[in-house]
Amino acid sequence: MQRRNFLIGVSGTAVAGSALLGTGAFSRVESHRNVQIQVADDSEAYLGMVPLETLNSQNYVSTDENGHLYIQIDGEGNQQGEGPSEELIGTGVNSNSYTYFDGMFDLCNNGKADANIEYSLENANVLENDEPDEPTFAFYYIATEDDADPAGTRVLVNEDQSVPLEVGSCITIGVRTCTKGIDASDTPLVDGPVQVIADSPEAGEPNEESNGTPTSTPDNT
Amino acid sequence: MQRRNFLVGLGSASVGGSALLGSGAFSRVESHRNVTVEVAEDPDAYLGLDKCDTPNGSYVDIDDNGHLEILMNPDNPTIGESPLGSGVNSNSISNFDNVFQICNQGKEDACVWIADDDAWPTVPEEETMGGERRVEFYLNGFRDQSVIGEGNGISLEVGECVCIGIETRTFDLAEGDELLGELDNQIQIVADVDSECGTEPLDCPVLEGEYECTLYESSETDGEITSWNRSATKFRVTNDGPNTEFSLAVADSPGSWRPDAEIPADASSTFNADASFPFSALIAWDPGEECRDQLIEANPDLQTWSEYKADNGLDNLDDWYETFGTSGIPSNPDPPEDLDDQLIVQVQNIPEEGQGTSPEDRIGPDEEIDNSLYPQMSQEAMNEGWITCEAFNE
Repeated sequence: MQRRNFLIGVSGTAVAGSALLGTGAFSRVESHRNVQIQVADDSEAYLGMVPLETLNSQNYVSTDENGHLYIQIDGEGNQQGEGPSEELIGTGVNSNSYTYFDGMFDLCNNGKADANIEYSLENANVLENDEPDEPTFAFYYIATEDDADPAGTRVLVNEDQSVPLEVGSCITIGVRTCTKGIDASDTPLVDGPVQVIADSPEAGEPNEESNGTPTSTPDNT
Repeated sequence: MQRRNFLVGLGSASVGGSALLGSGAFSRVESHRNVTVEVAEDPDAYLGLDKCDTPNGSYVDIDDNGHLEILMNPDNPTIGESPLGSGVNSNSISNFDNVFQICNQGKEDACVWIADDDAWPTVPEEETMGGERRVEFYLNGFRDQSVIGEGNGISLEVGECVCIGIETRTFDLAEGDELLGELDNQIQIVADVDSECGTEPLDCPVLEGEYECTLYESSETDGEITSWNRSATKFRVTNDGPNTEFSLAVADSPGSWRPDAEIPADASSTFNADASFPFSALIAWDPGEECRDQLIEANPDLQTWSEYKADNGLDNLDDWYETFGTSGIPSNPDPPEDLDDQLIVQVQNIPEEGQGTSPEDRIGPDEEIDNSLYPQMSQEAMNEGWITCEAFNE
């Protein structure tokens, strides 16, 4: 296939090949075509967000009735309804501490091409801590043998840092909180939506090998 | 061939020979003929529809009937080969650049677009991107360049193709919802060789005017109001379009001319004219040549000044004042002898206008109203439709 040159505002693509050209004239064509675009549960959407069967995930992560993944770390626990409900459980993270929650959910690229994933807490209320370089709330993933960091390391991903995610693959995401200088109170440490942005620049480019993903910016609370 | 003799009144002809029959006229013939129109599969049709050669092209399927369809749902046929998703995320904006392509495989250049629809679903106002379309179709990867509606049409030369991208906005939707359900999951792709492509209709001022009420001034004796005297007429002018200047000509009485009145965009304002017993009034404005042509084509009630003059047998503006008024051409300010070829609209709802009553026999708003009656008028005048502004505002 010839590479296409796109001209803004003018139009299209030069298609080579006389086979396409002209068997007939038309004055006007109106064609109805099906376009079926459906909202999927987060676990199956193009940017997949999947609660796991780990204890952390079962306690703190689930998908609501609209198919939105959410994280809830408070006194309730048992978000997935899997565990014993009467058990004594904590009501929050410790003050003046770092807390890590491994294995909270999987982030999957169910699109059509490799993607870069970022997140933003821009629209969430986050309490400030005393550590200038340590965010109060951040996601991390566990490095594998393919990563630059030693396998098994928790690799913290700060807001607006980008993590590559191959098409068809998933990474397991954890949550870390830093409560240095924050005392226990009724105000939640973090409250609000997290915006996750998956950018897949190659999905709309001409095929070279095969691959693809949409870019997507879901909000998930 | 034998000559036929027609007998008037009897209506019959003597026909001598059957060979004559059947060589002449007919009222109705039914003949069945073959018309061969082949239906091509979409990729090969005159309006060629196919997937783009991109990863996102795999959201497109050509179904068993050769029809292009876009499947961002569990039916997407590429599922199964790889662990791909079954739909868009909820509460999200998703962009899919270069999904399907439209090709002009006809014999003339054409304009292509996706037909807009009143039922096109939008995001609820209170949500992110409230009021925007649930699904937007755009050119290539140019996410701001919609191709919905004829005004956003893309010009395609013969043999040329263009890829279309899709943006979805799923705020306030939940798992299983279909974004184009209100359109029965169908869009209409249009290609037209006669369309003036990519030229959006201009935003042009369209003015209308109507009589609103008559203004009165009080006259006093020994500091007491005794009566009210007719002083001016209030007209309401409505502008459906960008701000513009206009002139208001009123005949009569006395005649008045108001040049360079201004009205803001999409506004309705009142304008007073000294003519307190109007017989007829015109609003004239110059929207520019392109707007003038567009408006006249779109609105058969609008006329240019030259058309108006021709319809009414007038020579110029002076002639208009003399024809429709009784007191000749107004002064201070003086109207021009004639108008440029502006757009003209007649002011509506002027009582007694167009009834064919000669000016001297018309009733008109009362010249003077006793304070005991004001803000009412004489029943006679009110029956005609005249009203004081004091009464109108109540």
